[in-house]
Amino acid sequence: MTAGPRDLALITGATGFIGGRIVELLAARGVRLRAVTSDFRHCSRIARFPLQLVKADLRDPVSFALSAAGCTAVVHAAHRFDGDKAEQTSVNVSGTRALAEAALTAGVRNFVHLSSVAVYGPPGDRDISEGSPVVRCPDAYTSAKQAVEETLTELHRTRGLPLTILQPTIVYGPFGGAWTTRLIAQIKNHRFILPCRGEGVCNAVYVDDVAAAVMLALSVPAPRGQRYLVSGPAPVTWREFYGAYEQMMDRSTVAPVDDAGYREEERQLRLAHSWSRQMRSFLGRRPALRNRFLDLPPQRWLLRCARAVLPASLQSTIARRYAQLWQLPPEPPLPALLPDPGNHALFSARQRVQIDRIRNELGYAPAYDLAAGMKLTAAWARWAHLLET
Amino acid sequence: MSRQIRLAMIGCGAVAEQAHLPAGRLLHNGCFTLLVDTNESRAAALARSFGIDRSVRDWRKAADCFDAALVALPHHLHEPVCCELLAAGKHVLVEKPLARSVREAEAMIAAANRSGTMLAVGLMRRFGWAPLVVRRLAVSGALGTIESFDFQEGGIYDWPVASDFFFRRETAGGGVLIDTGAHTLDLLLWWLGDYAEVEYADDSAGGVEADCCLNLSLQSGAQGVVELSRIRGMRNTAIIRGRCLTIEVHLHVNRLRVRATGTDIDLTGELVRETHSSPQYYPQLVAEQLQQWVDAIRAGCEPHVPAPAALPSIRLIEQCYARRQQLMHPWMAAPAITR
Repeated sequence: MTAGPRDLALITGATGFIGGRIVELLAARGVRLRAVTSDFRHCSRIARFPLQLVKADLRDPVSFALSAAGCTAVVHAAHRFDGDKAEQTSVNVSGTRALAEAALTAGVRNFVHLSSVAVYGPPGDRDISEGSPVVRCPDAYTSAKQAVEETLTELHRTRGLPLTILQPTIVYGPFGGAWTTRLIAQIKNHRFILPCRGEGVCNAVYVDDVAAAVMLALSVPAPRGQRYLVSGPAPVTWREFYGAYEQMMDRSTVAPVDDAGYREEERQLRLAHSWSRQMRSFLGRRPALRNRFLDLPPQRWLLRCARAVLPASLQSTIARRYAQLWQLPPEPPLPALLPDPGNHALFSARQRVQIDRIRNELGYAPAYDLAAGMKLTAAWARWAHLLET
Repeated sequence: MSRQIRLAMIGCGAVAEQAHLPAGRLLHNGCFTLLVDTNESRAAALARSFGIDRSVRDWRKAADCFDAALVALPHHLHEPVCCELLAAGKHVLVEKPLARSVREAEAMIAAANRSGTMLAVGLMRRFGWAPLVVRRLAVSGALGTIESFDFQEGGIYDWPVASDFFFRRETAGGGVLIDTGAHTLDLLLWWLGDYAEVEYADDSAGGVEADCCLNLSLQSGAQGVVELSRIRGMRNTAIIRGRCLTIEVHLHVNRLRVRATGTDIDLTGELVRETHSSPQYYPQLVAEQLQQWVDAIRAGCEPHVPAPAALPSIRLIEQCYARRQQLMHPWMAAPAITR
């Protein structure tokens, strides 16, 4: 992307995790920027740069279309997550279509769309490349991303939209949500149960590598509507990925378990949430309440009879058992947390994401292996006071 | 003055809706009679919801409808609008920051002096019980000679701004320093006295700063650090280390921790006030500020925070921007790795 006086790049989703870093890198190159946000309150990070701030929302396609006027390049990183599958798809498709059509009218040279590896469907064990089939699934996010890709590809084919689609994998780094601050919170507050001994494949990519891929896509002279997967230099295991966060936090609260161990953790969690366990826990902490219950007429009468009829040895055994019943096991220092079904599948998958196409065609060379990416992530997390107890 | 003070709300943004107009409902001897905003439909909607008689686009069209004005406009409009209001004989309470520069602030104060009207500034934290206690402790010498201090304030910015004026230097005058810092630095100087030297760095790259750091030397000889941010969680306390006592005061709630030098024992807790049955939170602070201002107008006496009281912090903020150094964030150090 050039930084000519007439060049103006539009970034949607500019206040988000990836969009924010794209703004920082483009601004550092002296590119004139127009940043789109649906809420001005989130602009602090990007307002450090001399850019145009524009309020527009995918739910209001007209506002999105207006934002593209006069631009020479578009990076579309916005996505609305709210609503069910139909609503999320409809909102993202209509807003994106309006933006792309306005970009065509403005005569932009590059339209870079931030999609996701999620378009290839639920994670499995077969490696993924851009030639892999797009698998339909009920997940709202995946469906919306698939539909947006189809809409833009159609506009490329029929009207020549200068499109490049990037499909990042597990993106982490400063200001990251799902794979950064959420994990820090998980490790801080839980004993996180990692299935498959943590040996599943994590196709992690540091946010600067994704931003670098965007820069390369913006430099494509004649975009061909191509899709590119974007991942780090080499996959790692989930154990290594979570382990990097444990190391920066000086914690050891992630528990990689095998299938049997995972089932046992599930069973323990179910038990902990069972009605009887909850009741026992409730009454166990309230001896006065238990004694009041035993002092009600029927129980009092039964106890009196038992004392009269039962031999002393049996009475003492019952009393001992009764006392044992209320001896609660010590609370674990941290509650266990199991991944939801979607993330369980992700943590169990062995698929490796191939990035040969973007390496060969755009010259992408990811610069941050896990150690390098996590070093910067840790520096940011310390600065942001996220590692303090 | 025995009659009710009629107030105009000039600027109907988020702070008017969430703070000042609700406070107006609790007011004795005064009430809002006019709402003014260039967005007429916004002003009319707020007038309906707060039961206020009239809303206009330009206060000059309804100058006979109010005695005093509460100004909550983008910062670059504080000086011209306040000066005109003061010249028209209206008393003014203006939201912080009083002005973007000492020159603007002095022009406003001069306008008030010329017209014999009252210009107060919305540094409402000076009404807080904890800041009042800290001021008393510091001024009385109970802390001993102040040796050092450490102020941290901020969090992920979440104020429901309706426009981008907060994020443009020409309208806001700056970023977190002039916005949050207007409060933080005002308290610091009010408690500990004026500054002597300042080193300042922020993360602006041509826009407005989101994070900044001041290394301050005070005229008393005390030295310390002030860190402000809109993009990371902060401690939101001020630690003041005196030769006799160290205190840590929360900057948002009335919480105080006191430790006698040479001990490891803390006296800590929420502050209560004999004359108040409930705690003092943000709405109560806003209401106290408004009530005290109206009472001062009626009595013809000085408000609790007159405009000149803000001059030391405005001077410091101006110095900071003049001596600004670049603050580099840890993640920004990464090289751009593209061809």
